[in-house]
Amino acid sequence: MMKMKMINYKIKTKMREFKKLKKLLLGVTVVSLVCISISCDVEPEIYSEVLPDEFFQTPEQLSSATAVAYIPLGRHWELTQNSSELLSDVATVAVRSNNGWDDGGVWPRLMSHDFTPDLAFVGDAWYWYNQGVSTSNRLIEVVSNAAGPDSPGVAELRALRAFYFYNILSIYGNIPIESRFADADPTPSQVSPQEAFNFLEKELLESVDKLSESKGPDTYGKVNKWVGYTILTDLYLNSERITGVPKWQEAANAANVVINNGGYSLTSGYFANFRERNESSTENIFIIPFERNIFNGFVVRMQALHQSATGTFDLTSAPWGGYAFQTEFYESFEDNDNRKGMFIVGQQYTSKAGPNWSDTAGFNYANPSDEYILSNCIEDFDNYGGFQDQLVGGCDIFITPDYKEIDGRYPYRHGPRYGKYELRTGEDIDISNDFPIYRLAGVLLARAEALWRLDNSNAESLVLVNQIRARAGLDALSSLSEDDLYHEIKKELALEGFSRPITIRFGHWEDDWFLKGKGSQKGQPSINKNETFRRFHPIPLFAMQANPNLVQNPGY
Amino acid sequence: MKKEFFNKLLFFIVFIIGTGIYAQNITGVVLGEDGALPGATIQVKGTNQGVTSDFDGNFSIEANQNDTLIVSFIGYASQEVNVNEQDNITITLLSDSILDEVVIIGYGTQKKEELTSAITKIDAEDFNGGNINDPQQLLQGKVAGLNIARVGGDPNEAFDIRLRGLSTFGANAEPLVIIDGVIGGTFDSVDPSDIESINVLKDASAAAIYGTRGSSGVIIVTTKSGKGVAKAGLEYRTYVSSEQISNIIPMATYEQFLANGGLDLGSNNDWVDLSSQTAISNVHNLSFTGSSGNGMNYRASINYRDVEGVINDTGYEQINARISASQSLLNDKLRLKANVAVTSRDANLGFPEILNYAQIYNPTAPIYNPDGTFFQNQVERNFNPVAIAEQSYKGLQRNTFLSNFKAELDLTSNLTVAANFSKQYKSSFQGLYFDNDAFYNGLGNKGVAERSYNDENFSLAEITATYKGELNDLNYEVLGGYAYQQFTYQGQYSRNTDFITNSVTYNNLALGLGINNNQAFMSSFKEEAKLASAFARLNLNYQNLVFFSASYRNEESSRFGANFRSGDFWAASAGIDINKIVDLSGVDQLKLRAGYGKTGNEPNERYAYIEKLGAENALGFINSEFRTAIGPLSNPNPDLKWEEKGELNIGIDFLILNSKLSGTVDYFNRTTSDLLRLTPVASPPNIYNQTLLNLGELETNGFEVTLNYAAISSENFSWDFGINLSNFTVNLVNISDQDNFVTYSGNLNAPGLNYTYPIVLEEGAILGNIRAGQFAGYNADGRTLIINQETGEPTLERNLDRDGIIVGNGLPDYTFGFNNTFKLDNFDLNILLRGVTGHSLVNIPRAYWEHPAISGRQNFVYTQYFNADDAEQDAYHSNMVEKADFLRLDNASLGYNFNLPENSMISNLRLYIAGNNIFTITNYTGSDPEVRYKDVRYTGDQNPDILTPGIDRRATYFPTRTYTVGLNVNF
Repeated sequence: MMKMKMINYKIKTKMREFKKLKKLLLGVTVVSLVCISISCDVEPEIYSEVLPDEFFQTPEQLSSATAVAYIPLGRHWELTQNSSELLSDVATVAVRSNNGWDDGGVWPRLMSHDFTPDLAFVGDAWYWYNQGVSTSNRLIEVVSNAAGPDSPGVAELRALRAFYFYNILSIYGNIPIESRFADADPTPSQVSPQEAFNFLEKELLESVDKLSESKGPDTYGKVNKWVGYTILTDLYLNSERITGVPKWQEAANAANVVINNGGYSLTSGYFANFRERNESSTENIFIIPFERNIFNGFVVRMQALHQSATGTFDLTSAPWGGYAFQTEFYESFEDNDNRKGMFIVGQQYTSKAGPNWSDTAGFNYANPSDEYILSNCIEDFDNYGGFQDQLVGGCDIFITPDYKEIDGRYPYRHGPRYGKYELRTGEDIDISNDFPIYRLAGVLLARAEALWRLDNSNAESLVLVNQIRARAGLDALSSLSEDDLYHEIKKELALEGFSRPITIRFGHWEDDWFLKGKGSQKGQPSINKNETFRRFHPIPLFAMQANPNLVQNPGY
Repeated sequence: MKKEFFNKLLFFIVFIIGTGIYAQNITGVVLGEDGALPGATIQVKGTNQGVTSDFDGNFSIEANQNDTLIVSFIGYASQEVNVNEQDNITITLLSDSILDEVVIIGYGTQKKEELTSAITKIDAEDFNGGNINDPQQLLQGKVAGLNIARVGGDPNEAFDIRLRGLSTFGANAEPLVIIDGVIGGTFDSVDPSDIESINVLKDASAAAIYGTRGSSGVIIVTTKSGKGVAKAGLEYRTYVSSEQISNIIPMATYEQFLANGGLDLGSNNDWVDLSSQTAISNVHNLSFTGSSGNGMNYRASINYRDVEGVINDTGYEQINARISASQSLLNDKLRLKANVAVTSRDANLGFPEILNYAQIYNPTAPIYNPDGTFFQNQVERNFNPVAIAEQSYKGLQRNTFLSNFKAELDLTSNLTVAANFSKQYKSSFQGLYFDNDAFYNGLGNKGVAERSYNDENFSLAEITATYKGELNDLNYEVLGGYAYQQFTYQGQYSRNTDFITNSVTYNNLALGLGINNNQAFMSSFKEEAKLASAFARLNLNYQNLVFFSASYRNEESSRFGANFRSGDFWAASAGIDINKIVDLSGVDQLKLRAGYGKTGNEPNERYAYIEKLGAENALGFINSEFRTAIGPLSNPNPDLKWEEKGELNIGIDFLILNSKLSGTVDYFNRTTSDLLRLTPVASPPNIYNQTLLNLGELETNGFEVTLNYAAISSENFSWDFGINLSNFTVNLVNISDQDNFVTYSGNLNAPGLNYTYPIVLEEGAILGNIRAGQFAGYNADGRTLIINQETGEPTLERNLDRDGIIVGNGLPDYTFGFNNTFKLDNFDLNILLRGVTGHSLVNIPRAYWEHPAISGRQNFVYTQYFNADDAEQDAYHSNMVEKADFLRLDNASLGYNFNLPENSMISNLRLYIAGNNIFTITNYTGSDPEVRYKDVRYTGDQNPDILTPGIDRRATYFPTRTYTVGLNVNF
């Protein structure tokens, strides 16, 4: 009985408590409803970012958006060096006296072609050119919607995208071709080099004739019709290398469109194309409009000058001093070759000696008098191993064309420095020279090579090569051997990013050269990893990690 | 009973409902454990009427039969006594018991006895002492599982806080801070001397009531108030401290430098000495507090800090003012409370890189050239540290405002509703200038001036209702609430160069010519975020034997797309006091508890789910002119959703040996899923090759042990010691949708070690692994040999990808604190030893500088590893990764409380001396073996990498040692 009462009481109490609970919940609900009605929603305002729906309205906005597709070109200079020139027998990055440019062995591995998917610089071209592709993909859709798929704007973007794609294909061989943005495959698979080639050929053929023929300010630094045909020439010229199927006649024909109809002409001086103010060059076809502090990325001064060049060019910070020419490349130039002005060698002077560039002779000192000899007692003068004793000239800076290893390292003053691009005195870091990606000399040589490949005794081919030689101040050749052609192209286009394809096309990619089978690194003979699969880079690790459908290139 | 360890402000309430109605004169006596208690407060509940007991503990008060008396005395648990028909009452107060201690949980309090989750409370009297300028320092080494580290002694640098390791990648890794109920409050708004207690919510069972942002733990700061103060008073606290560099990495002395072929430039300078100072800091805190007798309590304080850094001319001046007032109305049924705090800091940040160059600058170099200009050499790429200090300026002004208004109303005796409104505003300005002739950053630009402003503010509105009741033996408490928080962020940055004079530094940007030469820059932004939450909690207590708690919180965050905004977070935990079932002798408590909860994390990015356009980092070239180029800023992820963390916590709380030994042991296991992380994606189709995705899983587990032992407690002498120990391991269960994903980070940088990445982030492994080539001695030329892992042979080649093996881990195995408190008569002595074991550090100063071959350019490191025949200019290998276990006497203070005459104006007078970082025992040869929880890649790195622990960078600030003399006076 007592128990029953207890239970009854408990139930009653519980009921009471539940009623109170209900009241509480009601209270909370009321409060919540009040809040919701006052506007406690969480939709955020967007203040400082632009939403796509609000943009792409005016022609100015559309062209501002289109210009974005060209921005990845800001990296092109760096890529020409690290993906091409350094990997060939043109340039090198030796470990310097303070162990600069060893960087955990990255540069020595790169130069001996010991490519691995995660080696620094191996993935840079993939990264940057693909950003150009993705940006173009997006803008092609935007411009198609705004101006129609056949508009010149779309043609320009398609041809520009083909340039980016071509560079990726050229370096990596087996690449995914994803040309959509909105409905794209998030993890596109690779296609064969031939399929990629076919896609690019089609893209270019469909767009070239819709491109502007203007060579005025409206197309300066842009893809016009002649740029389109030059990209096509480059694609055909490398067809055999990439797909195994030669397209020499197509290359010669595409080059001829530019040569005959483009209205370009060789400048009388070779270096006119590389001066700080080279906008008026009649030879440059496709340029990157570098402008210090506005469009940066051309940092040849810091990469390539020796450290004490501060005194020559009135710099406020020391150049990094890594990149230089290889000795044999320097020596391959005849003494009377005007293009030797691209090398900074010999006795160096202070800015009082008037360092300057001329259109024909390149780098020189106006007044190289002994009183202005550049002297620096710190560069290369670490105390160990007696660098001092072994340096010609002691504190006076004399750049030798050859490299002498001292205790596993090379002095900063060894190796010819880059003097091809004019450097304005008193400015640091970036330079304002417009970088020519394509110029007429290259197109002439492309036609020469294509015709020569079809017929080793082709007369026009010889004429074209002699045209280039004449400008360099060299005598005409009477016949054109493979080596003649090879070296002429290489010298003419040095540092411009073509060394890699040229070296492969002429079958020299597996040769030994400085720091690749020749010379020594850190007191040990340098290595040459010379398997032919190394004509393509491995697919970079970050790309493999981002896209499970990618298959590594053979050999890696 | 070691009462001094425990809370003195108790809200332990026993309800005894009276029935009497007529007033009478009640007399009584208040007793403590050792006899009469003079000065105890006796108050009639719900009135302003109160008296204090006399010297013999006697009191007399007017009260009705149905009144309740509240009897309180510092150090004792307050008691409520029903008057009933008694007219002479004897009240025996019990000392505060550990079990009755009140702990602050989210939106309420709970007795420690009832806790079912891992919560640690630290009171003011247990805070670290000495030169304490940041609230975080108060807790360093005190709480098991809470790691607080600041590398070096830069007073302007913040502390890193990690609770139970790392459980997130892309979201906030630091615990959520709550100041007087204000969620997301900033430590900058609180002066350490105004803090009454800090509660640390460690596990998800405790933190889930805060839903989002509680994932990395919650730290609840309660500031002092006028509540519970018997008598109005004025308190003045002051100290002066002297701080010096305690350690630098050993460098060659002048003699050693020359003996190893150093380039002699003719002078002899100790650059560290020239660049540093003995920092003197002055701190003054003044506060007054009291209660009006009509239900009002107030406290106001002003804190002034003049803090110097050990680098010449660095430090800050700060004023903080705080007012807190509370008023109870309607017979204590309505309680109002307001808090306002303002902090203003004016800092000279200086340039910590000075210390870097001071170590390595040629000791024979002169300070000045004969013509009076600074001695410099461009090719060395090292900068004259005295010149940097003289020719560069970096200042900061920061103002913080925090206000909070809270109202609580008892609707019935069981039901209380509360509303809370808070606003926090933080505004900072930073200015930077390099002289136009300064080699360091100035010369190339002919002077550089920068100004940046940043504002962060939020408002928070909260409504809660709490219902407390009992059902026979079951006590329960139900909480429900709604919160809405809105955050706004905006900032502006501008830079100009080419200044004709250095006299205006960063104060007149218009003087620069750079704006006319494309060398000026400006930017600004404004963003906002919103968060709406509804939450509820149920707490049950069955006969103080079984305890249960469950909580739920739904949050909607503006940082996700419309379909993914809402997240549900919950927790449940239970505890049982075994001691109540099985009578164990000498055991006062033996509680087992277990809980599981789910919390969430939102991304740091505010609009990551939508495609946004902005200016590209280069201009577009249109019609041969440069124009603004507008493009996408990042890859949007419209499917972005909450990161979720599930955490299991199992713990034991015990109080044994007649309450002499108390302890807590916790084991936790956290699994974070849908990890917010910038993940590699294919490009094309993506514009960028990283997108913020929810991908992967992280598991963190570990344990924490806390023991407190009252070893001796006699009338004149007592000795208490406490130890806390913790460990955690972060397992990278799944960090990509690829198999065997591995990536490396922590580039050691140029010259010479660029593209050298020592820290490994590998799926299936633990976080913080360090790789290096295996050191195999030197060859005859003094070149370093490393084992080629393919051939097993020593090689001169450098190939970390091929030859790197795991040689250590940047995160610690064990962290412990050992605390001793001695009291002898009026003296008290407090000693805290803090130790960390198991972590290694990549000693970059050695990798770069411990080579005599560099002595042509600069000074070199000279530790036990120095080899005079070493011909390298830089080297990274296993020998450069050192174990960095350390034991540090972090904090020691000796105080004396003066006996004062009874009629003295002064009620309390205390004098103390204290030391911070008195000694460090370690085998690590670098300057500071402290754990690097994140990689600060360069001085002023705004985005340090939390996935790259364990790198001791070249520009590390040196650790310091401080001695302090302080005085506290109460009137």
